[in-house]
Amino acid sequence: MKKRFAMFLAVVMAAGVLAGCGSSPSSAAASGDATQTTGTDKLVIWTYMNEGEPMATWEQSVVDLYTEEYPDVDVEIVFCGREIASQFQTKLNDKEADDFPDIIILNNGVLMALAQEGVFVPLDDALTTPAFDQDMAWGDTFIANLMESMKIDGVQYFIPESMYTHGFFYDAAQFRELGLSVPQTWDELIAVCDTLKANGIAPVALDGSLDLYNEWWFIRFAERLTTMENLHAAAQGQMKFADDPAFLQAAEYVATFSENGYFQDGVAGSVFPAAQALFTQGEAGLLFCGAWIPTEMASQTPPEMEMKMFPLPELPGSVSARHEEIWSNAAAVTVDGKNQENAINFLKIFSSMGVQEGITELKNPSPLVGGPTVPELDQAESIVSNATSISGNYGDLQQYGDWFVNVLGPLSTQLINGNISAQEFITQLDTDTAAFYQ
Amino acid sequence: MRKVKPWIVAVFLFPGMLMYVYFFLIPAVQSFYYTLTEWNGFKDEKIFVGLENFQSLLTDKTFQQALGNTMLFLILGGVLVFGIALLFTYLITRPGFRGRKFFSNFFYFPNMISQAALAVMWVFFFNPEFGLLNMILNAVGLGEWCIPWLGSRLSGMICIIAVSCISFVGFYLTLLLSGCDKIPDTYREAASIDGATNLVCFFRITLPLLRDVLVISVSLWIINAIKYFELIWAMFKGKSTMLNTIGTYMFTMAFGVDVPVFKLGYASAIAVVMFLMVAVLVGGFRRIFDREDFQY
Repeated sequence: MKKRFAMFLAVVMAAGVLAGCGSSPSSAAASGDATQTTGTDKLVIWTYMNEGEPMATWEQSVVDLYTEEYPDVDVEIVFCGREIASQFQTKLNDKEADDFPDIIILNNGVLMALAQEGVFVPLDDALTTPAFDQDMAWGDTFIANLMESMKIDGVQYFIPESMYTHGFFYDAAQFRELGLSVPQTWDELIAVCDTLKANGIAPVALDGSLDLYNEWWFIRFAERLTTMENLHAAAQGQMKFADDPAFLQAAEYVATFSENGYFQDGVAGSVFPAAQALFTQGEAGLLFCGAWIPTEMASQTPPEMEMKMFPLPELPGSVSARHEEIWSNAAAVTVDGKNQENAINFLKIFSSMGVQEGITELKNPSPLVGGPTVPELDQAESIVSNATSISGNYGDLQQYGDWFVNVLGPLSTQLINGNISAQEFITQLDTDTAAFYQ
Repeated sequence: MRKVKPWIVAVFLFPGMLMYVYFFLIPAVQSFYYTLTEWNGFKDEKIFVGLENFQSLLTDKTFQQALGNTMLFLILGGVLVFGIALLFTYLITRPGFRGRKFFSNFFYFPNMISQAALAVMWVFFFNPEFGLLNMILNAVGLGEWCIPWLGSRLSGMICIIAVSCISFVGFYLTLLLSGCDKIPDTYREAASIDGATNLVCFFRITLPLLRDVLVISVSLWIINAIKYFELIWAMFKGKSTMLNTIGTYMFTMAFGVDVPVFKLGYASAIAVVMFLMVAVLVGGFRRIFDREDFQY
């Protein structure tokens, strides 16, 4: 009896495991049905936000609005967090799944790399259709420069969630107190730094251990002093950085900050987000960063601080005196999603004027023409509109993924922390770039 | 006792074996295959590149740096963890010592806290401007010792090793104490009667009899150190290249996070190197130090 019972139990266990490993006929049928259906009753959205983050709450409110508008569509929003791309890699092995994402929301630097792999649908045609709550074509509702900066080979794959640019953040109240005005030229910027330093305030806050932000400095100066063609050619190893003196000049500008002691003490050991905290505490005068700072630091910004932004001042000998970076976190529609029509309808609401207040309340700049403004970023639109040329963030160099991470990143950290000179930086950059592409 | 028929045992083992094969063996074999390809995970297409990924590792400066950091963590961290754990074992197992339970729990406590939470705390602790460490040094008149602790590869790695030790000591202390529990008191009592001090008893009796536990503990340390990831990732998110270990570098190459680096074939090659390191070091260590079970 015992033996029979043991046998029975073993067979049941084995059957259970096999059943678990396989997929049930009903679920397979369900996924098969879904692939055949168009104009479906489902929509799956994956976002890089974590549940509970302010922007996640806003995204949920857009889902609620969409559900009111399209009550027959069952929306599933998944808050994947920042490692969404690796989760998407895994999901691509299961394209037939009923919960395969129709929309991915992520920073457009990573989205661009994915679009180049052909996983997203071009949206140019959809952008010519009417907007959700404005009497114009959907594409015309967005800030033109922003849409232009996000195109890949002239094709638009992304719907912006916000609009970021890059520049110096400062406390207007602190500037007034010290009799400082917003610098328009390089010499004026240096004068501002000297005044801040003389008053016992670190002129610039920086997390010197963070390669990603450190390389941004060199890129921003290089974008102004040379052409984007040269910058990208050098990044791809097609020309030497030493062959264009503008690169050395850009490195010298960066080195000026460490040579003059403009960063806070011990900058090399500062780990993100310490520099931002230092800035909002008023212990540093400037922060050179993306326009997400007001959002990111909202909870730590004291009420008396009047956070404002100004662009990198004009540099002598610039090729493009006001080259600016403009980018966005954005949404893209997947090629393998089964609910593309629903996805487009959702994105129209996602980017409608009616939901912009929710974005700007979180201190995110609106991507729409005539959208509400964020007081801290009231200069953002003029920075963008006065630009003499534009690119995405990091000069779009992120697309050279591991060169960006393994070559430019570590060397920029050494340069900005004063461990190597500008000349050594350029020489080493050429050596390491050549070795990388070899 | 009735002997259970082998086929019944086999049937009961089958579900477990099936899961092991499905969830571990097949992915592991697949990983070996991926090392021979260039693949980003977004397309089905994998380009066969032979041993190119391994060749690239030989000239990859970031990988070599990460490997150096991992070895430093393994060796220096090992010396510190086991040095401190053995010291506490000696102090706690002395005859007449009270509070053994309290101290073993006390030292084990950091091991129970999430590494991510610890990372946030340590990042601020080491901050050069407002970190507690430099504040304390300034307060006791050692202001000239204040440095940007996480600002260079060596000082950064030493800080990481130091804080990791605080987490790990409790775990290895618990293993060693459980080993001590198995040693009969009679050996030490006999030695004491013969005039041996506590220290002599520890080195001549306890330590040799702990050898089996030590071999297992060191093997575990080697495995944990080579694949160490959580704390460093939580502190730097792979964005401070000089403080990468091979675990964090592998993740950065596979999944990029903020920067689109999706080199799954290359990352698999790094994973295979990690596997070989564990196999060679643990295998070699056990071959040298393993012995027949000592019965007492």
